[in-house]
Amino acid sequence: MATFELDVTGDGDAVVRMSGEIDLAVVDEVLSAAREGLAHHDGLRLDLSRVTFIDSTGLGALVRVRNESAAEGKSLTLVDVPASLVRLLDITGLHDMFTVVGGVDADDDGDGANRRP
Amino acid sequence: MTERRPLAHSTRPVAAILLLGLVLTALGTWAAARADSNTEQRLLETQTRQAASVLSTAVAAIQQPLTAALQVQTQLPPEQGANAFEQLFTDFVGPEATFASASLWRRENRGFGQVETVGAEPELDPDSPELEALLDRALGATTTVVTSVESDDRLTIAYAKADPDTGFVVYAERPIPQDRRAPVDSDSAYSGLHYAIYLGPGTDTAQMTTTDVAPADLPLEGRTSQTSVPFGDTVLTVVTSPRGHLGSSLSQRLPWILLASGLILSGAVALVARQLVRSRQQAVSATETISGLYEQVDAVYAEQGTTFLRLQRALLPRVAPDIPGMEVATEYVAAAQNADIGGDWYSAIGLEEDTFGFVVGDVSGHGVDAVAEMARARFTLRAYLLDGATPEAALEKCSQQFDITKDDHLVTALVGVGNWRTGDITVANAGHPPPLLVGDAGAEFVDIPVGPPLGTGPTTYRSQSFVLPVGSALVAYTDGLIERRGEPIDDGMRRLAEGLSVAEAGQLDAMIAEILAKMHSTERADDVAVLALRRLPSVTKSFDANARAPRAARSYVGELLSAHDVGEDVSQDVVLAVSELVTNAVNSGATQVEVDLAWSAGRLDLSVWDDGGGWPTRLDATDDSTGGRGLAIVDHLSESWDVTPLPEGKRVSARWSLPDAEPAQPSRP
Repeated sequence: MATFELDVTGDGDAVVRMSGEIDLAVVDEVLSAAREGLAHHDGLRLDLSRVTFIDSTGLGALVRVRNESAAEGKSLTLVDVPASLVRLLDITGLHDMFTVVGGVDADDDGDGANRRP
Repeated sequence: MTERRPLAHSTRPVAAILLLGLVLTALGTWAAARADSNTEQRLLETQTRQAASVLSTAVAAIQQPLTAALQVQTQLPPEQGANAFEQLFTDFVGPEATFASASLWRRENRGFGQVETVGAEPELDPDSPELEALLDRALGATTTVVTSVESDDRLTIAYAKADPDTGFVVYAERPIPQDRRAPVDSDSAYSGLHYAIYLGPGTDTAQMTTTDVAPADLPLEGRTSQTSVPFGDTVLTVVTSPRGHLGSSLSQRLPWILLASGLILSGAVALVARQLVRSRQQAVSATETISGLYEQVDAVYAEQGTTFLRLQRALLPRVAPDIPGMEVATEYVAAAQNADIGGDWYSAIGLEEDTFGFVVGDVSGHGVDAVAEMARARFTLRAYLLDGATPEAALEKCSQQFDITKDDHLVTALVGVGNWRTGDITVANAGHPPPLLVGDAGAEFVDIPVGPPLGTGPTTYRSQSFVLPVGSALVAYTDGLIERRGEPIDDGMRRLAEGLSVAEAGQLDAMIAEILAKMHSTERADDVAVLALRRLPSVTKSFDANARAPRAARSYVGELLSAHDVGEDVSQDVVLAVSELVTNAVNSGATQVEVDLAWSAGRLDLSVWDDGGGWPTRLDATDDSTGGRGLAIVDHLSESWDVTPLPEGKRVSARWSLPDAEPAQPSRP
């Protein structure tokens, strides 16, 4: 099961730390956690370091969060993206839609998060 | 059960037979007695006639001198007549002679004149009118006149014979002895007879002249015969009765013999008949009893057969346990020559999540005892396996529960524990034939250290571990399969292994049938139990279609793949693909999702079936679409994929190639 923690960084952005598997079972929780973070802050950082799995449904939830933050003019940053998500982003061609920080950037033999097409 | 019939039923024919016997005896006796009586009467009459003829001769002899005297008188001159008369009668007259007195008379003008007298003076007074009347009568008669004269309590017979031409009359008297009894010579005509001779036609004792019995006993009684002999102008009446039995003694005894033997025979026949009737009744009763017993025995056997069958079914589960990743097939065949149930068994049980246990065992002998022992061994081993014991430990512990010196049955068993994910199998053997491993390359026996049968005292067993490759089957069996009369057991094992190859998926039953057909023997004297375990090349699992289904399916597939060591990359791709496909199924409104994972050398197939509507399409999702990317991902991850519409729902299949997919080989000692 996935868990969600809300935190606030020093520069005022909200941080939502997700852990576990992000799929159909938890998309609503992803959205509500993200919306809660966005509600009182100018930016939202999603810490995905503890996410063990995410599929296209979980990715779809991230896309919705990104659409909603963009609509509100707020920033969204994915932090510590796991390799599985990087690969998913590559497969779906959505890599450019997210600002990604950390994670497997240094991973040069996998699908790096900072690798651009 | 059987009732003794009332004796009245048996006595009726016996009584009839006895009665018939008695009647026949009586008739026979009566007929014999009657025949004897007739014979006696005839004999009596014959003898009487003989006696009468003898008497006739005597009578003639008596009259002879009288006639002779009269003839002499006609031929001689009168002066010589008296002298001739005297000479003629001298020999006939005297105390011991025929006559006591004889006299010659001649008719004169008035009465008769006495010419000559020989012997005593006549008893009858010569001057009496009786004598004159007698002489008169003689002259008027043609024969001798005979009459009796009673005087002084004596009876004298008087004879008078006359010649009317000359007027001479001869008169003679013959005295009858005082007692009138005459002895009978044994050779005379009267021997064997009592008799009484009467003068005249009557049988008045007063007129009786001669008898051999006391006059007081007259008349003769009993069987008598009476006849008359002419005697002058009267007759002598002869009455006889037999002194004893006249005929043969057999004729006399025959009625009694018949009576006695008839009675004895009737009694014997009646006894025999009674015995026969009783025997027959007993036989009938015994037959009924025996028939009843046979029926009962049949019923008991039928019941026993039914019980055995039910026992058999209860002890040998027809439905193989649901062990994931394993196809299980079993068969039990009763002995061809023995209808009795045997003690062979098989058992397969799921243990923990990944592990399962199996046993094939054999209790020697047949019948309830063997089955009871079988049940004991089967459930004891099962309990130890469920308790987590290793195969060797289960055998050791179970062995302590048996004592071969007290139990009449020899128990052998092959016990194994396996992990269906990894194919690891550990087997221990207590005196049982080795199992057969059937794979792509053919069949070979798994060499397992063989320990002693159960109950042979404290012992330890050693186990052997090996990996059951995907698609391969392990066949355990009892010795009835490979034993054939007159054939070494090695030959049976060789025949079993020859030409056997792994069957198509889902055809394990057919493989067992093939084995049984190949090893079939009409002379099979033992029953056979066969258990086959095949490591499935595909595994199917159903899930309820809800938001948690994708995670459950991922977990399931992930475990399977890690067990099959397909590699991390492929494993992640397949897990992601199943998550996408199951999510699509849930979103299409399905209620059930089925995930099937099939693998073979170098290839992995994933199929997801659901009963939902809609048709999965790969959308050209834009960057800001929040869904519709599932199939695109599957398309990217897999080598190929397709959708198959089914009568109920649809199936989406995706395929991967497996790098370096060498099937694991069983480790051999």
